[in-house]
Parts: sequence; C-alpha cells; structure tokens
Amino acid sequence: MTATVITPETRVPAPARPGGGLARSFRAEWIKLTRRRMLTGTLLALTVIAAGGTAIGITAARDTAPGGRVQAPDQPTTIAALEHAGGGTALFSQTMGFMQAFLLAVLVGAVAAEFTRGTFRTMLLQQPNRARVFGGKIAAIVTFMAAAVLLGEIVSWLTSWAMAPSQGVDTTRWITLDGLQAGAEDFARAIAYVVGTAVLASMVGILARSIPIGVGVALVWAGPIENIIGDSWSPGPKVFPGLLMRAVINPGSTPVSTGQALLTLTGYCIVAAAIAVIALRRRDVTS
Amino acid sequence: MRTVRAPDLHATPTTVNAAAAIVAGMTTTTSSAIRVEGLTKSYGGRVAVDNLSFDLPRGVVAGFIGPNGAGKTTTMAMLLGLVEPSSGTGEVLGTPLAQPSTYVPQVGALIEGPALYPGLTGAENLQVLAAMGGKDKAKIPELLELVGLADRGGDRFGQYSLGMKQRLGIAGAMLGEPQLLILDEPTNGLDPIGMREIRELIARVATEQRTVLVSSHLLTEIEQVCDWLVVIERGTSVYAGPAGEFLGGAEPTVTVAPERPADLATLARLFAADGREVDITPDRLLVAVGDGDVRIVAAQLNRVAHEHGIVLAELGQRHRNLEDRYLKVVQGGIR
Repeated sequence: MTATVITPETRVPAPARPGGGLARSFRAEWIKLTRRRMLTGTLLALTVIAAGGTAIGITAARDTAPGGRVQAPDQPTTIAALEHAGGGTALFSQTMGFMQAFLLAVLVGAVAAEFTRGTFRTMLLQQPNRARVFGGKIAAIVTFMAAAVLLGEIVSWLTSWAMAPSQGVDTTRWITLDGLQAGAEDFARAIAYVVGTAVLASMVGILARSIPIGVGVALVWAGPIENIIGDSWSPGPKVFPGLLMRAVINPGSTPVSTGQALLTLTGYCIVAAAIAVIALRRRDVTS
Repeated sequence: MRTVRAPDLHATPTTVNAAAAIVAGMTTTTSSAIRVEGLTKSYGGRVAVDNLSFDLPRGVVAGFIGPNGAGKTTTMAMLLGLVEPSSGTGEVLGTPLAQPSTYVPQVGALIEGPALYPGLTGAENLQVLAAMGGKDKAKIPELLELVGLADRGGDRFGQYSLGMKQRLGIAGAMLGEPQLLILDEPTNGLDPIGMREIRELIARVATEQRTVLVSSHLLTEIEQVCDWLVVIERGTSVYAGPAGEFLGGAEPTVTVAPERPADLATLARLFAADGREVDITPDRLLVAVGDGDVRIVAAQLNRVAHEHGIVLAELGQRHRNLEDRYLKVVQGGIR
C-alpha cells in the first residue's frame, strides 16, 4: 500500500510588519480616513458648519435679550461674552453643542455599519483580536476628529474675527495669552466631548449592530428623552450623559460644573467601554 | 496515486477520522492543515454543527460540501475564530483552535461573501486589509493581476460586479501568502462565466503546497478543482478523504431511463430486487456495474425491464460523478 507523500509546510510566511494589533488597526482606519475624497468632504462640511454656525451666532449676538432683560455674560451669544478672551472660539463650542445628536448618530452609524456590512468580520480575518481591532479604529476616528475640531476652531475663530467689527464686538482680548489659553481650553473641552461621544456611540453601535436601530436609539435618546426628561426632572442634568457632555462643551449651559460632569462622564465611559469589550469578545461574528 | 481504501461512507465520525489518520500514519512527513474532533456549535436548542470530526492534510485542495444549512459556514467561522465552539477540540496549522490569534495571520479567508468598504477602491480596500494584518502592501498590484483586476483596482468596490467582488475578496485572502486558504462559497451568485473564473483562480492559487478548503453546494465546481473532500450533513461529517475514493474511483455505471417516467420507481425496485445497487435521479437510474462487464449488465437490465413490460428510452454507460455519489451518501438510495 502506498500513499502520496504530502510534504510538511516549508514555505515561511511573510513576516507581519512591525506594530501591535492596535497600531495596525489604527493605520488601517487611517488609510480610510485620509483618502482624498474623505479629506475633501470633511474639509468642506467642516468649513460650512464652523463658518455657518459662527456667522449665525455672531449675527444673533445682542447686548440684551428680547424684552430688555439683560443676558447673562457667560452666554456666548451676548456681545459681552464674545468680547471675553475666549470669544473667538466660543461660538464653535456652541455649534458643537448643537451638533450633539448629529455627531452621536454619525458615530453610531459608522460603528454599526462595520457589523451590518460585514467589514468588521473581514478585519478579524486579518487581525483576530477584536478589542485591538475596535480600539485601533476608534482611536483613529477620535484622532481624525481631534484634527477636524482643531481646524473647526481655526475656521470659527477666523470667521468671528472677520465679522466681529460689523457687530460691534471688540476683539482686542482675543489676541492675548489669555485668549490663547481660552482657545486651548475650548479645544480640550471639545476633545473630551468627542471622546465621550465616541465611547458611548461605540457601545450603542456594538450592541445594536444595525444602522437603523443604532441611529434610531441614539437620536431618540439624545433628542426627546434627554431634553424633555432633563427639563422636567431636576437630577437630569447630573445623570444624563448628553446633558453632561453639554456641560463640558458649553460650561454654564446646565447647572452642573465642568469637573462634576467630567467625573461622571468618565465613569460612564469606563462602564460603556467595558460593556463594549465584553460584547465584542463574547458575541459570535456572523452576518 | 493513492491506493488507500475509502472509509465507510456511513461510518461514525470517529471511524472517518481514524481512516484519515491511517492515511496520515502511512507517511511520517504528513501533517494536518486542519484537524477537528467533536466540534459542536449550538444556538439555544438548535445544533448547527454536531460532533464534527475530520482531518485535512497539508497541500490538498479540499471541497467542503453539504446541503444548505449543513453547517459549512459555521464550521469555517469556528476555524477562523469568528464563532466560539460549544464543545470539541481542533487545530489549525498545528495550533489549537482556542488560539486564533496565533494561526489566523497565516490563514487567508473569504467567508459569508466579500465584505469590504464600498466607498473605497479595490486597491484601497487591499491596503486597509494589508495594514490591518501587518502584511506587505507591495504585493497588492501582483494580487490584483492574479485575480484579473489589474485594470479595475482604481474603481470603487461598490461599483464592482459580484464576480469582481468575489475575486477581490480572494485577493484579500491571499495577502501575506497564507499557508491555508478558507473560501466559503466563492462562486455563490455568479453566472457560469464568473464560476469558471473563480474555479480557474482557485486552481491558480492552489500551488506551492498551499492548502485550500473551499465550500460549495455546486458539486460540479468542487469536482473540477478538489482532490480531497469533506462531506457534512446536518452538521456531522459523513466523509472525509480523497475525492477519488469518494467517487469510487472510475467505477462505471449503467444509466437507464424508462420511456414513461412513472416507471422509474418500479424499475428501481426491480433492479434492486435483482441484487443491483441503484441510485435514482429525477429522470434516470444509475446502476452500479461492480465487478461485472458493462455490456452484460446492460443486457440483463434491459431483459428485466422487458420482462415487466417496461420500455427503455435510454440505456447507456457513464462514470459516477460527484453529484451522483453525493446524492447517494447524503440522501440515500436504493441498493
């Protein structure tokens, strides 16, 4: 009796390029994010949103509220608030606050799409560590959004600076060390806002694994539920993640301080990340 | 030429596995690309894969066949770490199934269809995969050439035809020169030309000692490219071994078709009663010749039919193909 001899595997596979799974996942996502079409689209949308939101905000700025009531100086839509050192970037922060539900929906949709399209499964065939694949993706998205936020701040500042004279806003304090510090603080607030939104959106997207369900849940939660209940239930601003993030990006817009909001949000993000990782590891990845 | 006897087609998985082990044991240099033992996956009360065992030597092109819902995709997903087995053990490229992070980088796979980013071009999608797997992206033009997409690599994936998507998916699986390729229904949804393209592609990539496991329910496709078979039904292995052995070598059969289709079952019973091994297809009977002479057997069958007043419209000779054998094993037949 004879048999065909099947020789052992002798071909040495090409060595993997350096870098851990997290770094490789980051690089893979970065390729997607930095395509020319993506960059052009992002730049265009960002310019429209930042410049448009700023233009609307500065045009609407008044010294007094309708009826003659004097507005609080910490509200960025007052002339007095815009003349503060941080007035140049205040309107971009306000615009981002308005964009909360949209941002959440976009991120939830992006995460859920990885599952509905089956691309997450395809990525796992290259890098089986699910947490690293997902962590790298989210890190790349947050990095990209941080760059976008920085660009948005600059566009918004330039728009405000160009329009300020026509609205009688004195911009002298914007170009000072205090102005730079205020801009840096606004940027840091925006990054915390983006990271918080990304972590919560990831959890929703992973659990839903469906674009319509995930986006629907995000919109209903961030829109009617948080705002209606938050308005009528006094602890709402202290416990609802959306309202807490609003306290971070637009300080003074809710009764909660930035420190308290950040502390509570950090706890939420840790829990959300843990749920997301557990769900990623335990669930089968099938279509 | 293999001269190993085929395992009993209705043997238990353990016996099938033992037969495969005999094959492996005859040569000291043989090792398994895939080996699973008692692999089971249950979803609630539904068992998708039931105590599946088989052994796949390195260097073969293996067809993984079974009816829709037999558990082929679930098995492949378990081999790739996408689905966690409920029980059972196994190894892929010598590494336990529980450690997919160790062996998956050496495995190329296309499972449940080519799922890539529709807004990215073919080449960009391969760049993303190469980056994710830490593989050399310099090979991408070569791979696009291999799968016949060299001139379409700059087009968006969303604009590709299904056949082009499947080919790009195979190119993605080929990144990093994997030792093992696992392809799940790569011809699914393709027209005959697309099927032929994929078949030729599999034949091209199945070189240099690379092991290929390809699932399909299109048996003619499998028959043309595979030299090894794993047949499963309801999640259980019914055969694992050389394709030639499954087909029964070159054993000829006599095909018999009555003039009236209604006589097909009667004729089958008559031949079976005459001690013949008979398989029924929708329009004809396949009668095993065994050790006899084809012409004599054909004459005997003709005589039996004539004695019972059945007129034959066809009486011919053919070799068994995979479909005949598969239907016999999976669906059973009159013996």
